Amino acid sequence: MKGQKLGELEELVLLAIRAAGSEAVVVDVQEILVENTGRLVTLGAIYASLERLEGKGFAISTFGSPEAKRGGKRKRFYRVTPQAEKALTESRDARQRLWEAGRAELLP
Amino acid sequence: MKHRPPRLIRWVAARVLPVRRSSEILSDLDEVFDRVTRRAGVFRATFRYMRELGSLARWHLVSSGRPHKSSQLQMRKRPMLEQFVSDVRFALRSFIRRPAFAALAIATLSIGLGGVVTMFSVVNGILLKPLDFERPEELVVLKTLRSHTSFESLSQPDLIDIREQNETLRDVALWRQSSAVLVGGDGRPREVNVGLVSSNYFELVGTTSAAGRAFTESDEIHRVVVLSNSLWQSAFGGDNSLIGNSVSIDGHPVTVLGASNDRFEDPVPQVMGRGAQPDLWMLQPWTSNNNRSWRGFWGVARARSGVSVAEVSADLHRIALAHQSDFPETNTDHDWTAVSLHERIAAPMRSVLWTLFAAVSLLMLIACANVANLLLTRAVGRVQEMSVRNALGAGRGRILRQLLTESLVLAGTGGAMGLFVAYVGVSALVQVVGERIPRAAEIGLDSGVLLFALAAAVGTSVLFGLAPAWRLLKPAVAARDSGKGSAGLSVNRLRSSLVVAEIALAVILMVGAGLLLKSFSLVNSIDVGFDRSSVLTFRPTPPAADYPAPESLTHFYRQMFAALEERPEIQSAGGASDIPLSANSNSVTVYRSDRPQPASGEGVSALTRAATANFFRSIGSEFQLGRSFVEADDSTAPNVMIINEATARTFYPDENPIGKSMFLMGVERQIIGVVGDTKQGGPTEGPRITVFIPYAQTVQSWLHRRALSVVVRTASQPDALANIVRETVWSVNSGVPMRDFKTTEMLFEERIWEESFRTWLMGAFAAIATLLTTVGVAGVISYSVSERRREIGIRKALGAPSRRVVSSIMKRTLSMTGLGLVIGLGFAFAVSGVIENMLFGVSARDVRVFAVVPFLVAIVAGCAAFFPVRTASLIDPATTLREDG
Repeated sequence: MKGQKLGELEELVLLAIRAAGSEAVVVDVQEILVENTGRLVTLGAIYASLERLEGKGFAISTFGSPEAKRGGKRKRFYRVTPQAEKALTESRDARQRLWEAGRAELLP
Repeated sequence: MKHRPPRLIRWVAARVLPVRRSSEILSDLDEVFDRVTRRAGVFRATFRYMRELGSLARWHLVSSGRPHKSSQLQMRKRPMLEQFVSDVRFALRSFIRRPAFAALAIATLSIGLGGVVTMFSVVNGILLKPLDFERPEELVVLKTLRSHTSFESLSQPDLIDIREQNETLRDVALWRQSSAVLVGGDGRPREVNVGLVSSNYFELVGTTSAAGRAFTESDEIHRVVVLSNSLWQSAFGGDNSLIGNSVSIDGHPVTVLGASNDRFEDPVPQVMGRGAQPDLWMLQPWTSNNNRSWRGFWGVARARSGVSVAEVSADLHRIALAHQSDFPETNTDHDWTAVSLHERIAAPMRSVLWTLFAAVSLLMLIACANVANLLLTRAVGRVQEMSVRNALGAGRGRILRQLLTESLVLAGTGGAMGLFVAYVGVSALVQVVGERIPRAAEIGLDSGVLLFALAAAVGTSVLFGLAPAWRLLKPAVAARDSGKGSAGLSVNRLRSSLVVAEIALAVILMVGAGLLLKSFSLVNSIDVGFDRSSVLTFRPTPPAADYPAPESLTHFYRQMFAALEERPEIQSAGGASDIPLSANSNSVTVYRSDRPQPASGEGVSALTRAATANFFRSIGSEFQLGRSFVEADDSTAPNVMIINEATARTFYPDENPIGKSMFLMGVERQIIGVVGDTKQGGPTEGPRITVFIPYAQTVQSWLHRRALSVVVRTASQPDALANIVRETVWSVNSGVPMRDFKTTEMLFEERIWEESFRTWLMGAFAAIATLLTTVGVAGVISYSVSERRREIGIRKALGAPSRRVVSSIMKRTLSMTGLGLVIGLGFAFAVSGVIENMLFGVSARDVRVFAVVPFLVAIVAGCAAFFPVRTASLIDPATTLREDG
């Protein structure tokens, strides 16, 4: 059953990858996380999450073509997998339901 | 243009990051640095860079181990402690399963460890622990050194000079023994021991008061006293309101300044070797006595910090040399030296205590050998267990550790029981000899002793556990002996050598105890020169207020002796300034009146005693020549004296001394009698030159003691006489306190307490050692019999008579004990010299003692072989053969 659970940071990382667009690099992912959560998520934490996410099959990385401006090194781009999309949706729906359950009780 | 992080940090980063992704991650870091620099400047960017690097490094470290972790690695090692705990549990379970084995082993160990810990407590309390004073290493005793005498105390003027002229001492205090009559809280007068001290004494020694305060210099003009804690408690119930009020001492009101701390043990009485602690201390003003030839003071000093005792001695020697030339009349031949206070107190006990400690250590070795033997027996039955363990993957180190843990559990339990034994032993010892040994209050199971006990327990566990463990580790054992449970030749050899060693050790103890016992019995039968039975002694102190003049004191004693002799129970009563065995060494120079006066320091000094008319008759001394004193020999009669045989031999070797006269203390006295030598100090010392003067003729001298030692001869039991004596004395004056009611037999026992102490302890050690050895030998023999059941059965079946079976067992027993005996006697012969100085009238190599030991060992062998032999002779061949077939 390994790979089915999403940790909180993992969920955030996946969302940040999605937000970074088709060519998400780690530094962009970090920037998005910092901007949206208001706290510094370190590169170490992000790499650790990404490693786990790749192991679970929620994220995949591909290498782009070498760029001149980055000293000829290739960039690693991250993408979320359809499984991740599904897990994220489930997670969001679960939260949504919980939110609404809360609102229902607070009404009248 | 991109911003680049500092080179050094980047270089560090390159080394911290995982190799396979380092370039990728480094470029990410560079990117972050660039972006942050643009937003917030280089400083923040550098900080951020380092923080990111830290997080990456942590990630790298955490994740790098994980993929390699395999199940095998996890099994590799359990933590040491956990392993130890489970070994201990296992050991406890296995001991509970075999309670007899465990009980025997633990009992044996507790005897051995208990003995060692007991003796160590004594050694520690007296010899090892520093004295219970402030910076005790600085305290020294000053003493006089003279050729030909052991006299050590000093005169007050000399002590004052030392105090003023030294360059190595912080301060000097003086101390003199005295006594007084104190009226206690119950209104009864009692005689008390007094320590007369200079005002700086307590401060110099460094002790605190339990209540009130100690002396100060400004107290010297007042009548003040510091009570000992025990007197404060016993006579005044520890009443705090007493402090600052006055008590009656010798008829005068004296202000109580304070009470000593209950742990305070005045060191000077221990230095003097008589041990009686003062009941109270009073002041001896520095200026009170300027007689340089009266050396009745002890000097205690505190050295300046960092000054050694040798340096103090050299300093004293320098002052002494100056005094020899400045005061030729009194100080010729007098040198001074310093001894460390602790050394001075501990020295007399040192060799005895270490010898006894060595003896009890031998006892412990025997206990260890016994337990090792027990474990070996058990080891044989565990061969299979060990091979299984080995087969399942336990390494030799692991098995060894487990076996030693078992030994440790045994030793720990034995040690805990041993502590209990030691607690009992120490209490008993302190109870018996506490009053006579220095620092008895400091003997106990303190942290030092507990540490020693722990070390001893661990040490013994290795001693007795290693051999059996080693046996079990031999892989060959498993292969050869599996199933059968036969011990094999080498185990038997090991066990036999342990038994031989045990016997050898026990033999050493037997020889030691034998020598001491023989010496003790000789000391006990020494002729002390008087009749040891039927005499009661005591000391009355007629109060100074009732008898201020010396003549009135003489009159009181005359009345008292007359009243005592009127009682039908009392045959005669007399008194003397010091009685035999009192060890008092008051002495003066004597010389024949028909010879010139010897130069200072060259005369013969004689022990000098004042005696009343019936003293010699009462104590039972016999006259060789002449007569005893009579009532008529009083202050108006011609001056007379009685000398002992030693004096006669020295001064009148070929003449009749009766009618000749001698000078002593500036007075010419005619010799009227020669009395037999009596032991004045200990029973083992030789005859000493002693002279007696009629008490009535000593009124002008220090010999005219207020408290005479009285001897009362009775036809009945002397110890039952005390009440009659008290009543009679009180019928003369009801205000006379009396103390020290003792029979002469008790005096004698007090003088030889040290001999009896070491003899009985050594005897006890030897007896226990013999018992343990007997058990050990019996264990080995009976095991070998049970091992040979089958063989013996076959022999019997083939017609061997019981006699031959028995003789083969006896032969084995005797060969082991014989070898042990020879080795033990050899060792004993080699080392018995160490107790030479504890022996009286016996050589350390006394043939008879050495000759008796083999008989004892033969008895041990006989006892040890009895049960195994019985078992062997009862073996039924048919049953045995069927069992094993």
